[in-house]
Amino acid sequence: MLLIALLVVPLVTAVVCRLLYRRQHVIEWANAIGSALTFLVAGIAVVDVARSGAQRDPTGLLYVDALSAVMLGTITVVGLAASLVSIGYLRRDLGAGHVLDGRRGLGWYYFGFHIFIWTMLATVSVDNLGLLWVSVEATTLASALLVGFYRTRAALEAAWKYIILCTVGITFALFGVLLTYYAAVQAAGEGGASLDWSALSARSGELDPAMMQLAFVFILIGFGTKAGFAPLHTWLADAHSQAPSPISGVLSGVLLACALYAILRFHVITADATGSAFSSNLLLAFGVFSIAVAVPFIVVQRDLKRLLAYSSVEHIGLMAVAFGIGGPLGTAAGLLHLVNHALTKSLLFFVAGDISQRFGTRRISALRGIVRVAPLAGWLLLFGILAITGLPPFSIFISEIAIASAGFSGSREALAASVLVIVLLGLIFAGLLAQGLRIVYGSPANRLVPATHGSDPGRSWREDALWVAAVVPMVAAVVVFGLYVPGPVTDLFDDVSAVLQPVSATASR
Amino acid sequence: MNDLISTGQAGTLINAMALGLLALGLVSVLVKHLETAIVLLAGQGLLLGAASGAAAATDMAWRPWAAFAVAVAVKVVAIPLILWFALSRLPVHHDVESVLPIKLAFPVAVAIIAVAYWVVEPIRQVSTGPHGFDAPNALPAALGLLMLGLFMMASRKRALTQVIGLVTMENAIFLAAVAATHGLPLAVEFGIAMDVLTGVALMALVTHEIGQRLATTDIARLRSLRG
Repeated sequence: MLLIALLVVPLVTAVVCRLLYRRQHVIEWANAIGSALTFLVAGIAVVDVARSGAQRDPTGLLYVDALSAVMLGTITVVGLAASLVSIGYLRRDLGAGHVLDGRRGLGWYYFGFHIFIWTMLATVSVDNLGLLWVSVEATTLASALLVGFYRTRAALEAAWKYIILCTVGITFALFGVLLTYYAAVQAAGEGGASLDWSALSARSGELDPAMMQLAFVFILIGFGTKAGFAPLHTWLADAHSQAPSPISGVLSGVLLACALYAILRFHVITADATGSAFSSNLLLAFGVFSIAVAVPFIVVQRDLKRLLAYSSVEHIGLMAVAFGIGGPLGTAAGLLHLVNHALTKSLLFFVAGDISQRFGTRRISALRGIVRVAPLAGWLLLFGILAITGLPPFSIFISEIAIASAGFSGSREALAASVLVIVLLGLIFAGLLAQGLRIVYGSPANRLVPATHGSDPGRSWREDALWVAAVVPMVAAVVVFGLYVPGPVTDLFDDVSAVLQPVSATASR
Repeated sequence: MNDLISTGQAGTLINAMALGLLALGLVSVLVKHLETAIVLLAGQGLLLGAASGAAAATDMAWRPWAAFAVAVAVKVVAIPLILWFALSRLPVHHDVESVLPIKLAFPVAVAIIAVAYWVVEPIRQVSTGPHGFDAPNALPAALGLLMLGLFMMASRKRALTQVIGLVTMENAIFLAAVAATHGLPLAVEFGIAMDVLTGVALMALVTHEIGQRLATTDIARLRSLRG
């Protein structure tokens, strides 16, 4: 019942927000309460999984194990923060006349937001791999509306590229799903075959290895487009920079991870069916290549949100490397990095959104010396950039060290990948830090003036308080996870290693 | 068993439909007007419906028939209607505007089909295996159609032709699914159909918005975001 409630709450919230768009305060409250409820229900589900293992719903459609639980927790935390940040952000956009159709547009925004959250929750909780595909494609459709929300020329261009590239990519993944189903039918006959992950992973040893290898290649290309692996990442920076900033935070923090989650589900089955490191090595290769491609774009970037977007390409690559290394160490490091990145990067996008809204630009050269004009935003940006580059004592540092040390105790390919990654991370560290310091401390070309629009109502303390309430817990989490990872969380990560057992087995072979 | 037709007959029918789909795909590469392309897309849907109907007729369970009904409703009726409506609202002319001249596009398309047959040769038994139908052309045709769809997207400049290419690619996978595994499980087929339908509607909407803002739907003009 709980799992069904998890999927019903966001859906109801979405519909309420759309229907009641005439009453702005009502939909803002509905949005906040809906997200809080989703977060609460997901929290209970996560605790259930941590205490008593994988959960199922009565229909058998949903299956939530430890891996799903980590994703559920991350999605709903980032979702809750984004929904709170959205309230003030959208109010100011509305006041400045950036929202088409006024309040009706606002209703559509909250509708899209909760549908988007709903599709991601479905992605990580359905059992059937075909429905997993359906859910991932649904995340694209729901978020495309949000990417193009401002309907400017650039926003429409970004939305168009996003929806076309990701849909083409994912069509290849559908072929991978079909091949997987074919392998299942071959092994079990038409009657006994199913695409349920829980059933497939239990007997993945019986699947035709050659067929699963081919399937995984298609899966990796398809969902990899969505995850933002280079060279399939070309949509990513456009979508992240054009979307309203709370949405950019969700896209980067958890949507990319959802696509990676889909790849992991197939990775487990493929690794077990082939009994080889084929899929692990592919993950390593895509991971390292993505990090490498991100380097030049970060170093010469001129747009703040695009800078953060390319940093996401880097970090999703790093997660792919971690899961490619595999084993209990690699898996735990990858999960920790997934969670840390989700928190840190969405925080950064929220801050970047606040800054770009205040000053009406995302150009880095125009934002230099921000700490003198907007101290809180400036300090938070500095904090976020220090954390995202992997500086101690913040959380990303811990997970990056964990990934590297897992690599050093892994296979020869894992070792090679880790060495490359360390070199590349050094370059990115220098590039991103230089960019960050330029923004925060640099001497401004012109005096920065907060943008005021004709009918701008100004900022009320209520909105600011809400913003701070959303952001402070994330800052706290980034700091705490850097000092130590709480016991229950590590236990849950260990459970995930068990879920990804076949992978762990091949890695140690 | 009270099946309408035998598995062998269904295989023959699916084989014929696969060849027909390939022919339609080839013609789609050559068309000049968006209207024709949409009609051809509906034609693809019709052939796919026939193939899926043939698969359903071999065992009279309700699930394959439900999948058949969904396929026909979405591919023959809904998608062409949405595209037609979107086209009728566009303020610009209705030529497809190819990057390649047709004299060049045709040989490329033929080469694509040849490559598809060559690539699939080693795993052709997939469509003729114990659980699929005896339709030796189904899998190469599916791959050919997939690549033709991709080629359409790469060689055409108008936004709506991109959507048509995308639906063509999805049709190709549907064909492979019918031939190799009697189609995917019903819930999955239904979910995919809903995704494709929503996706096409959404793309039509974005196309409309682009047409309004830019007074063109030439996607080669969408080049402002870089780096």
